[in-house]
Amino acid sequence: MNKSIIYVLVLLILTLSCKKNGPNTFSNKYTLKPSNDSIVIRIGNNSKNLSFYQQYFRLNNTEYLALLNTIRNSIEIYDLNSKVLFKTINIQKEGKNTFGDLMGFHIVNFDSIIIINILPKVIGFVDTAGVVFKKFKFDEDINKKRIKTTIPWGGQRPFLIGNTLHLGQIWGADESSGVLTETGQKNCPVDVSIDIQSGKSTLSQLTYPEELVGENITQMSVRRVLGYKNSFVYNFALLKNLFITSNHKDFNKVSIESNYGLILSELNKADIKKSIYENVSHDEIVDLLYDEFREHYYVLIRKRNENLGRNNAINTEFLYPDCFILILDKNLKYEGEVFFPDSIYSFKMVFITPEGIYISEDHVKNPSFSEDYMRFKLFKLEKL
Amino acid sequence: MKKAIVLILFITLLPSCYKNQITKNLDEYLKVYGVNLGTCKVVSIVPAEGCKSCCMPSIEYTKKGNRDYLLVLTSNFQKSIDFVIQTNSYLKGSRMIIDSDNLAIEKQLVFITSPTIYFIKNGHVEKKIDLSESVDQKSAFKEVDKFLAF
Repeated sequence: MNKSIIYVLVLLILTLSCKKNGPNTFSNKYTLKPSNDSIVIRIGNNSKNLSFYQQYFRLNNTEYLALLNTIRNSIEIYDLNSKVLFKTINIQKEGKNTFGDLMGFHIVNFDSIIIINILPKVIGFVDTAGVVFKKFKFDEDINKKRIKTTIPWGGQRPFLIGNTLHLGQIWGADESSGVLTETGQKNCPVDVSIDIQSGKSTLSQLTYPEELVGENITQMSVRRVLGYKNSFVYNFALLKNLFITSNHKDFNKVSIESNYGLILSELNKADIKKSIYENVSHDEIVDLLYDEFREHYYVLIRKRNENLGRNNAINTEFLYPDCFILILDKNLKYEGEVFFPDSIYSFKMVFITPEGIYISEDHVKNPSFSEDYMRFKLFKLEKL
Repeated sequence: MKKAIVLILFITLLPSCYKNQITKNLDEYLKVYGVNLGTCKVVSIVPAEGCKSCCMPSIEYTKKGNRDYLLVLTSNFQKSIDFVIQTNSYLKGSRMIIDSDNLAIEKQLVFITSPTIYFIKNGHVEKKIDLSESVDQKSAFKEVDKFLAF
């Protein structure tokens, strides 16, 4: 009799403890509801409906979306009110106004557009006619430390706070075969802040988190966003955490709360081919976005493809990740997660406006895909 | 002794099976575009959005005008392929396949970053060089020269 009671008690405790750590722990308080509103823009022969970097901004009561065109080395600015191409700014690779490869930009106003190249590391300023009126190099910071800026796309977009441009840093650990050592960790600043008036650069005191010591960080992605109260939120692809900093001196760490059961890649490979296959077969945070109008974060997570084999276009998987969106409040607490049908939305093309979050419908496998149009569907954050 | 013979046979047959599979895949792919594998000596498949310095030697090789050299441009975007042709005008008269359905990548005949070169002998793939694994472009194209000269 006693044995039976003990057995039932043990079973009960085990069941309860399993429930605590198992799936469906978090309840959905918010969702992203598709609205009937969408933006459809006819695009020209020189433009594509896939860009790795886009910036939404408002000027003189007009909403704009600026896109990076890496093939044409240009910035395309679309007027979202009239849904037409407003301006193309061609960045020259030779001649009087030479700048080189355009890898990123930030538009504050049309008189002064910040343009970024990382090979070599140059910041420039252009007007809408493409005239470069100022440029400077940023190879080293004020303490002569080497700057290692990552490509400023997607989850590593540039951020401007006042006159300071923030660019992300990405480090390998070549001297220790890719494995981050304790000494190495202290030499991996996460940010460089560049004073756009003086051109002076300062690497952050804050470095890669200690949790990465002993890990192979080769080709590890780092995503970040400028969020609530000008705090930066980081994700390091090997860690299931978000790291917050308001001063780039220390991190606060929070776990990523999700009911999905994330399986992140633990292996980083020097071989780019193997690395891409490894990434695609695991879940990956591909972007972090902050909705300043509603004070929420959106974490875009590419779902793993466990059936990689023949007839998988690896570039399609990579360029058009099938994602779900994790909704977090301003303190990075779970508020909901939203799943989308596969092969419809293009999650590399997402932007946030006062109305909501616009997600591109131009997944190359979407039956209604056309190279001649750029289409975004509006989703509104709604309380459940 | 018997075991050793089986092992030797196994080791000999395995690569030939692999080669046959590559031949089959490439043959099926080219047939979609009405090309018979037997009519080419070298097939170079280039991802139109691949790394420029990795892809240009394959594209520029068409300048030699050798009709046994078949260039394939592959992408999800017709616009990307058009851009390659537009910026390399000599391609207009070249022997070329335009694969804007991204089929070559889907069938894993080429990786997204760099070209793959297939050497064909009597309608079979004799060898392939995946330039995403080999950075020695010079010796790869010396080999193409040699192969086409025979």
